[in-house]
Amino acid sequence: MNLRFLLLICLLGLGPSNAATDPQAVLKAVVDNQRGGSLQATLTLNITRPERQTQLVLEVASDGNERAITWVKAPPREAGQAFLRVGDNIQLYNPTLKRVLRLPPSGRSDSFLGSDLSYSDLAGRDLEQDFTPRVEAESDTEITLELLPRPQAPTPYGKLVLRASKPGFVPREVLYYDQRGQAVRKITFAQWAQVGGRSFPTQVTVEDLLRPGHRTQMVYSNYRFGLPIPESCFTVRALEAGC
Amino acid sequence: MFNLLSLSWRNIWRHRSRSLMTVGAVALAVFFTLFYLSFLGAMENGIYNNLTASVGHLQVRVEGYREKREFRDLLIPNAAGVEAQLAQKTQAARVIALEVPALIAGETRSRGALLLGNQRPPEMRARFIQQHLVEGTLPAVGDLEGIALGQALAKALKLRLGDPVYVYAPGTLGRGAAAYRLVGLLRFPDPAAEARSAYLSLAAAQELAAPGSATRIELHFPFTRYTQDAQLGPIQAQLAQQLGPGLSLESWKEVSPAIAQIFDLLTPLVLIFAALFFGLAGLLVLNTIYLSLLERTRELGVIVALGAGPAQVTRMVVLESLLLCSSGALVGGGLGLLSIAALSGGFSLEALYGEVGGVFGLPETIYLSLRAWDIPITLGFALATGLLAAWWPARVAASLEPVEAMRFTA
Repeated sequence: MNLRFLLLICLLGLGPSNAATDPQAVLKAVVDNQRGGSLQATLTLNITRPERQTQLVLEVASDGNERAITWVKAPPREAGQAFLRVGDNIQLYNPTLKRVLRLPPSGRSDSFLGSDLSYSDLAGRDLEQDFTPRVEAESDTEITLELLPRPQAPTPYGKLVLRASKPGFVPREVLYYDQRGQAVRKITFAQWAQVGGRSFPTQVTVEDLLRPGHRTQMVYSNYRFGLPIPESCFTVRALEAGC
Repeated sequence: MFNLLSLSWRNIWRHRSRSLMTVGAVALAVFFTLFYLSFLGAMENGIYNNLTASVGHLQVRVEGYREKREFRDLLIPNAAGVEAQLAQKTQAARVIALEVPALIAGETRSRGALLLGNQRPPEMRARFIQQHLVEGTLPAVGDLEGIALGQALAKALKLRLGDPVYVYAPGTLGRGAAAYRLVGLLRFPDPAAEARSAYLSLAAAQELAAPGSATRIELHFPFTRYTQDAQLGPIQAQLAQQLGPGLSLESWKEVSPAIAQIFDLLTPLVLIFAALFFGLAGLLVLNTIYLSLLERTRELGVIVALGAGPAQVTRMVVLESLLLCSSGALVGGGLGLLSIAALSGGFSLEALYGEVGGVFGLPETIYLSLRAWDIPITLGFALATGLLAAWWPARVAASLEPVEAMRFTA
């Protein structure tokens, strides 16, 4: 009798230890790694198409959470444009118009300057805000989360599958599925920089799975982490004048 | 034959009320069939005209444009050159259009929209203005400063005529951004289209997004009836051969396959309804003829005894049925044609289908009209009903034994 009771206690004890992986906490850790805390960096976007290749150079400043500002430095045709994200609010500055325009929520998943990135990919914590995570698979070295969109979330995707390595929940890959369950987009993370206990991916590749040969590689350089970013950087004025 | 005809005619009117009811049923079937067919013809022509006015009868596009998503991959370079080449081969009116996905903003608000820059022949431009412009004007040819917006879009952006409108078109090949002045407000039957429509002159759209290029060139032929569409096939094949590499020529059916499918379904659907009408009317004819035969069994026995063969009896029964049906067809056809003539001036069903009709391209005004084969189809249905309804009673009558028939009591 006592032996059976002991066995039952052991089984009950095993259950909670497996279920203890809180998917929301894992997702937060993954996004913390992905955003890397406060950051100033140069970002090079290499946009590959079957018949051409384009390069954009951006300067980025982010508080690692919901605020980020991006200035386009090259090529000259695009230079001078700037994008500010504060929470859900994305504003852009265009030097031709000499005006700041607000991007509607439906535009967050639109292509960023003709690349395979969306405005949401550049900054913010949309994965946490817009999706409900569930642990799909877990091993000693890796965890896979399935992310389903929350009701009313401004996303065109039906499901995301995020793969991260353990320990540390370092992001490895995110697969985006459309509403019909077909994989349409893949983001792969590589070249991690160790920043205050976080693993920040300095090379991110976004692939369009529906169109072979359509790929955008995002490479961070001159990055500095943990710097206090002045509040004046996250203002509309900074879009035009810098900070 | 004349004797047989007069005998059949007399037999029909022995039971006036029953025969009149049968004639009425056939007349109703003929009336409804004609009316439905003319309504169908009117809808077909209306949808055809609405659709071809917006997309053209034929459309030049970049080959495989449906699979291409990037703006620059959809561009027809040297659009004016392609248009000039088409002008040498066809007299059709040509519209050069450049569609640009863009962010359109007022002072405080912004929306994603599809900006259309186009260049239409004067008469098509006048028709577009008459149909869609509610306030102000449409940007003139070559106007680089004016923009017209769908009324719903302008309302969403809190814009009035004269206000500045800012357009941001990233990833394009022109200036990529520009400021315009709101010069016109447009109304479209589809509210969703109205909320995302913005119109520029072709020159302004090209300066903004793609100098010298277009995303489509429409060819508009002077066809007003759907039946004329059959002429399009050979023209399409001939013009497609003249186009340069990388370009395709599609008919409106290929551009809007869903609408084309509806067109293909309309006629069979109406014919199924007509078959149901005539089926019900046929049962009444059958009933009338059979009851009439039962009542005249002894009389038929005498006729057969006097030397009438099965073929003559069959002919008489069939003739009675055909006379009933043709009388009905005459009355129903006359009433149907009069009604169609009265409504051919046009009537509106907007109150019935409201804004939804516009979404599906349904015409605002219906002009009833019959196609060449509508009357023969209806008469064919009436004739077939008469023959089918008479088949079984005629067989019964032809197989009567004179002695048994003369002893028959109902």
